[in-house]
Amino acid sequence: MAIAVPVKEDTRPARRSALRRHPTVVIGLVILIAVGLMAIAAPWLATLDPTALSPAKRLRPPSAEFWFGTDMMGRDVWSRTVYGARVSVITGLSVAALATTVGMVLGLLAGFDRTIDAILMRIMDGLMAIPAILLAIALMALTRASLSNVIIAIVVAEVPRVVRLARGVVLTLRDATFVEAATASGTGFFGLLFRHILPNAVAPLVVQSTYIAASAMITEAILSFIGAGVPSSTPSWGNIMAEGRTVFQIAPQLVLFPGLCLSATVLAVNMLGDGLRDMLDPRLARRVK
Amino acid sequence: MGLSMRDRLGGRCGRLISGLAGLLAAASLAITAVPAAAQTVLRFVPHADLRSVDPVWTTAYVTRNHGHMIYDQLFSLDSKLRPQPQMVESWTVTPDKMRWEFTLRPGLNWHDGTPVTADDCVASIRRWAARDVLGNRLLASTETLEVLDAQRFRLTLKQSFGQVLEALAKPSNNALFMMPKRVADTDPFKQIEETIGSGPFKFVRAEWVPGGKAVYVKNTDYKPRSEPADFLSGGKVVKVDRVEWMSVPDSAVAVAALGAGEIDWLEVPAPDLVPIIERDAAITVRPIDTIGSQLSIRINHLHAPMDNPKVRQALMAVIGQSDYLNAISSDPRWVKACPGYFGCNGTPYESLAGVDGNLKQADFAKAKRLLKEAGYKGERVVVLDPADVHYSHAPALVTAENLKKAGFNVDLQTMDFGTAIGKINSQAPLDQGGWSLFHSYATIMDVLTPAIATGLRAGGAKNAAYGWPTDPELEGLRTKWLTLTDPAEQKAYADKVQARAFDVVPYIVTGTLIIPTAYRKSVDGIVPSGIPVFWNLTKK
Amino acid sequence: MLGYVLRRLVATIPVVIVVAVVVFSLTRLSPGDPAAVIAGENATTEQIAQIRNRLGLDQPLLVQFGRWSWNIIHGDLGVSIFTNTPVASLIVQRIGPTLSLAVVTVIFALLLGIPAGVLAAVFARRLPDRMVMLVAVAGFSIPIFVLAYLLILGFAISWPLLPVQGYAPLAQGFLPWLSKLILPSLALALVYAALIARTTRAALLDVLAEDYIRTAKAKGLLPREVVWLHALKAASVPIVTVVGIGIALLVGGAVVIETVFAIPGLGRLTVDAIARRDFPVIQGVILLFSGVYVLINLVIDLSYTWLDPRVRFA
Repeated sequence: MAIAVPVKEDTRPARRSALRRHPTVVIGLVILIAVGLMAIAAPWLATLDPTALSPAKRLRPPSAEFWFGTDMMGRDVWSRTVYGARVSVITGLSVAALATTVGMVLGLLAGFDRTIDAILMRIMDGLMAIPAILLAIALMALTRASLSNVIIAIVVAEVPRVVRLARGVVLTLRDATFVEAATASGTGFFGLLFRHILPNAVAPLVVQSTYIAASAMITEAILSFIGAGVPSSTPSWGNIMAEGRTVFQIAPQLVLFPGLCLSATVLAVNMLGDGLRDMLDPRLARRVK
Repeated sequence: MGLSMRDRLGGRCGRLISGLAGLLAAASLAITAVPAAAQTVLRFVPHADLRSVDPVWTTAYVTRNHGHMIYDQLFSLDSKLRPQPQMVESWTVTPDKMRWEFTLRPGLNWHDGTPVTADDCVASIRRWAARDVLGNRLLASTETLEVLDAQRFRLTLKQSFGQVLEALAKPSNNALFMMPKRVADTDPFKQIEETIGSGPFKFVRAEWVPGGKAVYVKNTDYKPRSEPADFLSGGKVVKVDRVEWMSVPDSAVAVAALGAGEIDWLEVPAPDLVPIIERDAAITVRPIDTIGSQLSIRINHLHAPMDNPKVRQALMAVIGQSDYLNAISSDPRWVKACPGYFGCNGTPYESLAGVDGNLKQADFAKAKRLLKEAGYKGERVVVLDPADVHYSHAPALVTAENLKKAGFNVDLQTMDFGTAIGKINSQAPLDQGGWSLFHSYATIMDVLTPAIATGLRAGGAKNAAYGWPTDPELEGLRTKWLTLTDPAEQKAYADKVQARAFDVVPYIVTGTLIIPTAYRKSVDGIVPSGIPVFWNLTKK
Repeated sequence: MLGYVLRRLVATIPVVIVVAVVVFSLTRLSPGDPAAVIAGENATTEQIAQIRNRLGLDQPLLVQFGRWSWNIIHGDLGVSIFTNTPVASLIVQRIGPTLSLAVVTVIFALLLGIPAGVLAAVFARRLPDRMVMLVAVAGFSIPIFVLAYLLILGFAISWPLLPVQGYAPLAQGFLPWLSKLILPSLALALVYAALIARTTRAALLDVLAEDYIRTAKAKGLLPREVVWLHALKAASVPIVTVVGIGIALLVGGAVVIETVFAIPGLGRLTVDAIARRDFPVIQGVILLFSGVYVLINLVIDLSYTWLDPRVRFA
């Protein structure tokens, strides 16, 4: 789902410190590093077992024992939130990596071969025409809920856009003068691919993948809301909020804390993406769509 | 040039917008008729959306409730759960209780104005019996079911059947409603097309948005009985003009809408939100269904390890009802321990037979000992967890956790309800997508007797509800029970059924849920009943 | 022009076929069984088999697919398994609420997004720009249902200005209709407005740097007129693109928003149908969404030529 669509930025060359030149990248990175540390250090940060039920202590407000209170099953929200960072990080990273890799391979194939292009792009157009959330919900109905299935469902929904992007890059480059020159001078297919096409395709794809990561985290939360997300035995920010949403009037902590974490993380990824786009290639926004 | 561009844009946008507005107006006109101002309209949020209007075809409770709006019953239950005549004026029965003759009340009409005949009633009974467990047994024991004249029909049994009136008064899945013969002649496995009944409300089909809104208007031609309304029995005197069932899927939003006066009656407020509603002086919160619902663990008996009675005993040993009740609500008013299979709180066959300290508290040592005796080798136990249904989801988590503590190899599978209900009806082995445990709940009206508590059916893979318990002795007791007509004997055999059930564990009861309902103080006179009914009540 | 439109229309056929195949296989491969949902928990396997038989679900998949496609070609979307109502009339009933939601959302998004984008472009790299862009990025970062709850809490409960939930058709009057749509549309519009603000800003900055704008300035026109008349016109191309992309976004958001605000629209119809495995409804609605998506993109491509004379038909 293209939550974040990057657009052109003005680009006046500026010669200032990294922070001054790309404040968004720095701030984004700082937040992301913090979230990453939280995910890695979850077992030490958590005060209680995030999946231990204690029905007798359900829906407690924040206190010294339960920093963020407890949820409807009496589980500790602080510990669940800390562990939830793992799900968001894993979802964001793996969806971005998988969707970009698969999309790039398919896009390159399509860019080089007309027959493959014709078939592949019709399939991609079809997949793109199905609203991504509905596609993901339907995919989740196919199988039992688990983190890996959620990731696969989101990847399937994201791939078509990457394919389009990668194909577009290949098509533009194929007609570019330097590529024609290389072909004329007898550079082989793989030489062409690795020396000319890939290096030029990497920048837009890296930027696109940050937006995919951001949108994947949001989609994970929405899938949980619909009831097609990660099972609550694996705490995620999405499923903590989804389970707690019915009691938001009496236990706002269930939506508030994971919601803040999720928003901050997605914000950071988006900021990083914007910054990277400016840094890597001011003009590439034309191709990222 | 810029100006002309803007003009063109404005012109086209304007046309586009007026076109869209026209379309919207057309679409909305198609589904709405604005009620006249003087009418009293009661806005009700049911526990689920009305998607099907055939109470024989589906067992969805909301469709059953819809049935009580537009259809009438031959007999209906009073608050003591005894059958009372409703459409029936009088009946006679031979001393051996083998031949029954029923006479309909005069002046009963279908919503289209044609009179209700005995012919219609017999057709309705036949269609219902093709789908209902008790109805099935009744017809199997029947020699003839014949129409005598427009007002009278006769039931002649070929073998003793102790539940004739109970069957005819069946209030819940599947309830027996009277439909016109042409409707009742529909294949019982296909949905009916018409929504014509003889009940106190008429269904406004044109305003029905399946899954969104259902509208009923008062049936001004309905002739209520003279007795006061009592549970489902007595006079169904309608005092509002129009009842709108509206779907509000989000429980927090539904509570807020009740507080804001956008709705008058919320059938099932989420138990955790009751404290908020109770703070509001304009709203009454109370259980109108004092019988409640039975929470249970259904067990698949076809596959190891749950095919072994000793393992099922071990499972029972880790069940403490309080764990389950706490997980569902922290308010003791809404959840009650109840070990018996036939309900508590004064239900006819309430019993402690065979309970023997079971279900009080999880006893892990006992479970481990039983598992050892059973020779449990760590076979997988698949616990289905439909995350979108609170009353199944929370108990599934409790069971999984307790089973692990007792040394079971637990596989907790989270899925949506649609997948889960597809799975529980599959007899496939565990490694082909099968299941071991599923947490269910049903109104206690559906488990009142050994005959209708379908979870106790123990005829194996072919002749039982999902879970497919096999126990000839239990099945024999149940069959025997149906033939009994003496109340003392019925009670004694119901106890025997329950005692046997605690031995072979067809399924396990984890407690009673008394779900409160919430309505604005402007609504008065709601009839206490296990089913929300809309006669007798008034709205200021 | 006509030839181009025809060619584009023909090109949508394979897309629709792909959608049909994907949707059909998705629904039929899923482990759920509508017959089981209908029969409820206490049915015997035999009864379920009977229901499946009456619904034609026991036939080979290819036969089912063939029959379904044949009916679709003849304009028949089938009959909902659960409600026994034609899918087409279910869609007609529910298109009003979803269309209303979409229209009001787009209007809000444009009203919020374009001024914000212009503001940001005019004050590029200064404080107003930074603020607008921060809010815009934040707009992408809040899950839509959280935003919806906050709006309800703020404007319907704590400060009871607007209805909590529900939908009133336009036939009941403009004000009831609008008042019930404000909160849901706002919740949906924020993401969308963020998108539009970013696009508007970037497009304006691009255009402002171009020669003809400089010429306009030199001719002595006031900067404000320059911005509005020339720049916005040229910027309309990327904005229209975003509106097109946003349609897909809107559908995803509508699923959530219709659930929270109890709006009986197409989004909820689909989610309900998936939960119950009401195959004909799932297939019909997703096919409809895809068709609308394809058509809107066609219209958008065509509108490029109309908005920007430099674009020629490909």
